[in-house]
Amino acid sequence: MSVLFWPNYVVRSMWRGGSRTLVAVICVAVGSAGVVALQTASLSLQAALISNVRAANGGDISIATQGSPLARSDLRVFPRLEARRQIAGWAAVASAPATSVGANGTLVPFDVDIVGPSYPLGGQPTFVRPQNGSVRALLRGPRDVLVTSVLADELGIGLGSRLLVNAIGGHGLAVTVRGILAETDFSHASVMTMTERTGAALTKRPRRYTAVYVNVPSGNSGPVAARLRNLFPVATIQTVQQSLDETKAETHDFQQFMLLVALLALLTAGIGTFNAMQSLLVRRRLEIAMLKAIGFRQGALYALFGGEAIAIGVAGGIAGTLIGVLVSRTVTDVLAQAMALQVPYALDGGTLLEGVAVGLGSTFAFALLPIVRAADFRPIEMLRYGEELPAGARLPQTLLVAATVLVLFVILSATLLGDPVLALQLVLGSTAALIVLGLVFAGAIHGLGLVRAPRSQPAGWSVAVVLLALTVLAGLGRSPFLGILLLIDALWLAVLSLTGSRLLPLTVAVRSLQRRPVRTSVTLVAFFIGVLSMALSLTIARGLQTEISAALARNGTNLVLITDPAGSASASRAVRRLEGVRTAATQVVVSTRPIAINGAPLTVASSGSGGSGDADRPGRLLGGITGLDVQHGETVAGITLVAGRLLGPRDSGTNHVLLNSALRAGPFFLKLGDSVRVKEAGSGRTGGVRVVGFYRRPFRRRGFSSFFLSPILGDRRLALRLGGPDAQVVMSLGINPDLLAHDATSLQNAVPGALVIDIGNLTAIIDRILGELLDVLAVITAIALGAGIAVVGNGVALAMLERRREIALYKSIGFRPGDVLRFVLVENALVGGLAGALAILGAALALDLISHFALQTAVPFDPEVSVFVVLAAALLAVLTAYVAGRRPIRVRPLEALRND
Amino acid sequence: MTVALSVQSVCKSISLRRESIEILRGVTFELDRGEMVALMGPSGSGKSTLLGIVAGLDRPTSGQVTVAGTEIGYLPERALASFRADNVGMVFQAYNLIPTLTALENVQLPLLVPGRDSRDGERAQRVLEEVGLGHRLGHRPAQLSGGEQQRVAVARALVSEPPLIIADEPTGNLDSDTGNALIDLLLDLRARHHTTILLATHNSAVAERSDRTLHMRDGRIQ
Repeated sequence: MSVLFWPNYVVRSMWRGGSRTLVAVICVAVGSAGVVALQTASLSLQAALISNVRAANGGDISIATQGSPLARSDLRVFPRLEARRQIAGWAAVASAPATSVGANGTLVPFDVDIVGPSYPLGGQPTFVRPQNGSVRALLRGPRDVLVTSVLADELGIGLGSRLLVNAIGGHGLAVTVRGILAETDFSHASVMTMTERTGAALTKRPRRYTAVYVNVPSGNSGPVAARLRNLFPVATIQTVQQSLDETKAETHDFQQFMLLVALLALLTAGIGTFNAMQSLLVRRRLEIAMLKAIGFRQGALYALFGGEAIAIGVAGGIAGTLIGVLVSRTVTDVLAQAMALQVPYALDGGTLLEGVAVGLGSTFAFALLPIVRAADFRPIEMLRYGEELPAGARLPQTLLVAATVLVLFVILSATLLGDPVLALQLVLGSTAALIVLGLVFAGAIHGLGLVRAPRSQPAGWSVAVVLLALTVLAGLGRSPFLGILLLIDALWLAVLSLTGSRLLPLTVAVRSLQRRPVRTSVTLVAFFIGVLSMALSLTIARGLQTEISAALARNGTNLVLITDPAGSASASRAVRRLEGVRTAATQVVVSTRPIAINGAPLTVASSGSGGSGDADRPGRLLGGITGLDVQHGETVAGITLVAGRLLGPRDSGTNHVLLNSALRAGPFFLKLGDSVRVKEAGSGRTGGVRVVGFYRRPFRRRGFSSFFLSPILGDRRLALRLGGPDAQVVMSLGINPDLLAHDATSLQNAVPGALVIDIGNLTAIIDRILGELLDVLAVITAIALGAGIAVVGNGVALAMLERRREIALYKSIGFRPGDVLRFVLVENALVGGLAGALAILGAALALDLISHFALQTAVPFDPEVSVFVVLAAALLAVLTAYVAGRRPIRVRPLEALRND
Repeated sequence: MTVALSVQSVCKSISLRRESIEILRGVTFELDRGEMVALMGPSGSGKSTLLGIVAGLDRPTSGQVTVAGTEIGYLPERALASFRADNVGMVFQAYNLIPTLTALENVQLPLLVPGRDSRDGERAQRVLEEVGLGHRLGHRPAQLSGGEQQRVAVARALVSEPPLIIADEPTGNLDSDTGNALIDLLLDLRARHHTTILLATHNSAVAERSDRTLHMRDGRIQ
């Protein structure tokens, strides 16, 4: 036999497979494309974040003190360290809150970073514009500033834009934008950077230093970082290496998430590959029987079919890699846009090879079972009886091969993820979920088949009335199950009111679904995964938006004014002149930093600061005092007393305070009666407070104005005494929403030395960020949904090929192609609707879990989303079926009836 | 007698790799109403192609096919579908029942073609009872024997009372007893409904029971 027999056989078989081969290649390509696109995007993102990590860290060591800012006096230690040559240089950054009116006339709040001449210490930050900019060169002028890309977007400004900036203790300062900085992490920071000279013109208030950057002479920053941790126990101190590790950890987690999504797409597409290979080989059972009858051994058949699988895998892998490269550009851009990062697109050769390898590997894994089955059946069964043994007779073999497939997929996943345990968890978890889902879907399809027109019409209509009433109630009660009820209503009304030829498409559709329960369930599962991703993205985004609006409504405060004590009288007068004021409350806030507890100075040991992550959280909980009018019983809304007592008139003029109950735990283990010495951030004054109670404030009960208040609650006079002229007066106003925009700008114009923050605008900004995150989720889930659609298309295409004879028969009886196409479309509308309905159930459950465990607030499920998901899923399945089924429907009846 | 089917000079050729193959070469014959005619000939003689053209499933390359006064050779696709629904019942060697539908539903199918919904809801059941399957209404094809499946196929061909029934080797998959019973059934139904039947067969016993036999060879009636 010629050596060329083998490749010839493989190529001809694939050619003969025609549409089936194409469907298999498409499924493999979808999986590979997902891996390549998401891998490329996440690698580009990682490269962007770690390429300039020293500059992002600010220097060899960064000291972040946002929660408890440093006073100027606290910085004296750095010149001393420099004089002793323990450090090579340092730069401190002071922060001040500010606002400006954006291009659309709304007030935008942001932070101003005031930097000294030695800034930047760690190298130039990444500039969006001008490219390769330099801080010193761009901030030469007396009113020149730099802004982050997020702030530029929020204000609607660009290079050369001039704007008026308001800050507490100033009179408004006109500045010019000279540069736009790229974001350095995922925090969406709205920051303006200016020199000390410009900062002095902006505000006369004492500086509060929120970051200090340090360079070390030897490059060995560890000992210096340890020394700094002792000096600043409630600060977050990070070396370049720690920053790099943290960034890598963050991007690694993100990359893992992207790869998990890609593997999910690969798994989904693999289901399609399995279906297609099964169909390819089942069709050739007679040929296989003949090959065996003339002496071909099982091994030879494995080689022949394996060769086909390899060819399909390579073709699909190459096609998928090319598609993935095209898609990855869009995914990277959307990610960069949503995360406000400057992400240079980078195509990695390894990822391209990986795409082809993934195509090959996944085809081999998913084609294994069909190949083994095809090569294993006894020819006599096929040649004599025209059929093989029932599947149940080969259950042990099937289970063994299925286990092998799982092992292969674990190996493939582990190679991609670089984490065998995670890969094992993913594959086993997905398999268990797929089995459960498959059983649920099989049950749903079986249940669908039981639905019949009732013998008694009145009884049927009574059920319809009950169903419609339930649907109306669900709509009025904004139930998440509205979409599911509408689907049930539609089906029941169809069964009840349609007869004859109008009911036939539904009957044929249900029977066809029941005829291939395994494939239908598998198709449903694959489609369900995509639809569930879509449903979850939509529900979480919409739910959070609704929750934010509800929080705003609950709060009652929609405008906040912050000024210094000197400006409070004029601010009060300006507030009285506003037309829309409904409620007003005033508190005094000072920024503090703990320095001793019960007389013992804070050290690293007592604070437990590890220098990374959320180490300064305890410090943040002691990072400021909110002064209340305790003489008149004023308190903060939404707090619950956990221990001790609330503040009352007898606490007026004392240093008694309430603390957050989290401070009862480590590292401080505070208790009632303890005294804490704090240092005010601006003035540097120190003072002691005594703990008389602990409170708790659930996330859900926090209003927006709580962002402007400090965590230690005490008497107003205590705050004023400690802060002096550096204290901030916070006025929380409830304004008639119709007059909000007008009153906000009037107030800001009337008191330029105050900060006026329109909370309605904050929600718009949060909405925008949520919208961008939704874009990311949409792009990522589109890949899962794409794989689901490919499987539906695959299922339809295979069903059309396998049902050619049936289609021909309908046509021979007198049905037109359009009638037959209607059967197919109704069948897939059912598939889509069912997947959508079950996705709603899954999303509702997932949202409940996310609300409970992650967000700790009940995020509502939008009923409109429920209806949209069911309709969209049905429509998507119908469109896919239309595209995949349109051509096969045109089969010539005589040809199919004679040859198939 | 009224002519139920007229086939005049029908030719059919197909192109295969630049080569034209003539399957039918000027076939001409007529069938009177109520006549049962057997079409015999070796494999490849063109029987099935001729039946397909007469049933409106295929088109002739040239010539005329007239069924119940309608010339069908050049009807557009939609009109041809309507023609099949109204005028032709087909019985195949491999039964060709829809596996997902019950016997009753399979027989009801021709009555459910859009635009020709029958108001007689009991008709399919009556026809099934007529072919002796009144007790198998709810069974699916896989639950029926070969002979029973073919009787369901006959019932399906008859249910819309078409003037012409085309049967392509209807006894080919049946044993001789069952095959004979099926021919009895066709003759009985022919007698009762006055239906014209054209059936292709290799079985001379079946041909002998027909009114006449047409012999085909190399695409021609001999």
